[in-house]
This record gives sequence, structure tokens and C-alpha cells, in this order.
Amino acid sequence: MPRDINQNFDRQFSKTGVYLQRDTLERSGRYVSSLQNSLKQPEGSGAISDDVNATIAPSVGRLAPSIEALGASIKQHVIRDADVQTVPLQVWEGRVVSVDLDNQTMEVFLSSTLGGYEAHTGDIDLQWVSEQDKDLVVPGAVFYLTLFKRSKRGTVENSQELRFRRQPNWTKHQLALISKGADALLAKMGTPRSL
Amino acid sequence: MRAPDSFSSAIVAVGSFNPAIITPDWLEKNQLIGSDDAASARASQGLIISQQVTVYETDWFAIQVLDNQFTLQSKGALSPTFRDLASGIFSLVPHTPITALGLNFSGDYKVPTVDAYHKVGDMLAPKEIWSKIYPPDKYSLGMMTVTIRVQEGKREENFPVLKSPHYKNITVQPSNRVRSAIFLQLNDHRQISEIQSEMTSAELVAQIIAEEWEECWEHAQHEFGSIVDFALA
Repeated sequence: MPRDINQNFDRQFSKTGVYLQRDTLERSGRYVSSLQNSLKQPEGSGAISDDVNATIAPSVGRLAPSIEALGASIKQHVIRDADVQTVPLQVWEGRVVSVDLDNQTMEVFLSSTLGGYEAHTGDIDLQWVSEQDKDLVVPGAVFYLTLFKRSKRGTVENSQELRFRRQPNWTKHQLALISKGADALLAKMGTPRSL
Repeated sequence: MRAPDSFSSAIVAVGSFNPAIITPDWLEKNQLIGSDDAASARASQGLIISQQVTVYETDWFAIQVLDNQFTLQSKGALSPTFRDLASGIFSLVPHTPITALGLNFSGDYKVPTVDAYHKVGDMLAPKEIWSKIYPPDKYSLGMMTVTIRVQEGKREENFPVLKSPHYKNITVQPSNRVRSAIFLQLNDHRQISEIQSEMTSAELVAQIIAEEWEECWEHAQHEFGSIVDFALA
């Protein structure tokens, strides 16, 4: 955990209000610029693209129960908005440290799960938490912050998404397994359960 | 390492499912999705909920459940919430018999020129043999699909290859979503067996997804980038 977040990061707010590290903003800018260059298609590429359209036949009716076949067919079958391409640039797992309702912010600890960036803490305005996730904002809650690039019909933009982790309630079976594990551990320790 | 221009995941399971129970309301009631996502799913185009098939989507996932197959496909920016949803669903149906699980990742990688685009195909599928049958002055040859199976152990020990309970299939094709791009797909396939496990097959699947999906994502992205880099080197 960083000793002092302000020494490690310059926090800046993006248009959507979720703070970003300075290097993130700079990288995003470079990324867009390089993409704009790469979007200029070389001459003759249209013919290749036309050939490509016939590579995978769209699946019709019931899909085959073969996993090998599924990946390819799913891509064609399920996604309807094929004009939109997204790619995550950074994925952070965050944990809510504290919530300041007066100032409508939450203090969070962020660790990088994609991108290999250093963990750090910061504040995020609660307005960037979706309505459906508002009741999940409590200390200890886990969320994911994804910074991603979205391309749609030649337009490229960087964006971000914040979603809180949702897990089902413990089932009786899971509780029984945990209890069994605890009993086994207790037996190893040789301590009577009544203690 | 080369970065993708598009990246997504799909989690597929083969077994015996009850499509009718996996509704948007059921996901919401079990706290796997929020109220807005549930409303979005209920309003989704092509919504079907029946004994034979369930299909709906939100802005971040699409689901299709048949009696013998479960498919969860990411939409939009991929995030660990996708893993949590899949793992959560299987943990809620612990007695569902499941025989196989596929963790799938796919990415589109744009290449800078037409020559580079063809170079990838020529490196992965050399045309020497084909050129003798179809002379280049009369025919043009292009790679459409190459799939390589990867599994642990020496090749002579793994014959026939289909017998392994855990392997990866990596497929390379021309992209049909991004112009002048290469499409790569990784299918991490596992046969699921309850033998020597205290857990049911569905619980095993939930655990595998929870513990290994993210690592599989990292591997997929690394391997895709390496394949394109090596092919263009």
C-alpha cells in the first residue's frame, strides 16, 4: 500500500468525474492519437474485408453442444451491436474505505487487475455510482473500475465504467461446507467446540 | 506487446439446464444484477423465457440458456463483474449436472498494412503446398481459419489429442468486425468430473470461474499479442 497517495499520483478528474492518474490521461490521449492514424486504411483493404464476411456462418437455431464450436458461433450469434468494439485499457479492483455522505464521496483503495499499475487510494464522487449500486456503497464493498476504449463507426473514445461487485447470498450448502471446514480445523487444533 | 482493438469473453457450459429459472427477475432477486440491469434485460430485444430456451441481454452481457447448454457473452467493456455473474449463477444451481466448461476470449488486432495482414496468414499457414496445386498466376490463396490445440505433455503422450480433459484451442481468422484486423480466439476447455471431489459439478464450475477466469484473460491477451507479434516479426 502506498505511504502517501499524493506523492505517488496526481489525481485529475476526467469529464465523467471519476478521477484518473495523470499518466492514465496522458496514455489515453496518445492512444486516441495513434488510433486515429491507424484508422486510415491502406488502399485495397476493402477487398479483404469483403472476403472476411464469409468466414463464419451465423448460427441458426439450436447451437451445437460442442464448446469448440461455441466460441466462434456465439460471437456472431449473440452480439447484435457489432459496430461497437471495446477494449479494456485498465481494470482496477476497488474497495470502499469510507463513505462521506455530507460531501457525497467515497474514499477507496484501488489495486490494478489489468495494466500492472501501482495500488493507491483516492476519492470518488458518489454521483458516479449508478442508482442500482447506491445501496452497495458501504465500507468494505468491492467494485471494479474499468477504463476502456470504444470504437464505433470510425469514432474512437475513451470511457470508464464503475460497477459494484455482486455475489449471491450464502446457500445452506455453502454454509454447511464452511461449517464442516471449521469443525475440521477445530479438531486439528484439539480445542473443544464449546470454547 | 501488441494491444487489441476489441476484446470480449464468453463462458459456455455443457450439461442439463433448466432455462426457465434463469430469468432477469431471478438474477435480481439473488443479487447478481441490479434493478436497472434487470429492467434492461426484461426490455431487451428478442427476450425469450421458456422451458426450452432463455435469451436476453443487457448493456454488459447477453445470456442464452438451452436445456443442454449455458452461454454468457460479455458486451461492452470486459470487467470482473462478468466473472462474478457467471460464478454466482452456477453457485445458485449447485445440483445442475455439468460435463464441460469453456472459458472463451476473443480479440481483434488491427495490422498496419495489407502486406502485414497477409504476412500473418502466410506465417501461420504457409502456401508452398497450395501454390503447387493452385498456381499463383491463376489463383490467390488466403488463410481463413487456423486452430491449434495446446495441452500439457509431450505430443506422443497425448495421442489422440481429444482425450485430454483440459486443453486450449487457439483460433486465428480474418476479423469480420474490424477492417484489416486479425481475429484471435482462445477456448480454454475443461471436462468437468465430480470424481474425487466433494463438490458438485456446478460448484466446481463456479469455483473454476471464480479462481481462474481472470488469469485465463491475462493469458489470452498475452498469447494473442505474442502470436501477432511473432507472425509480423
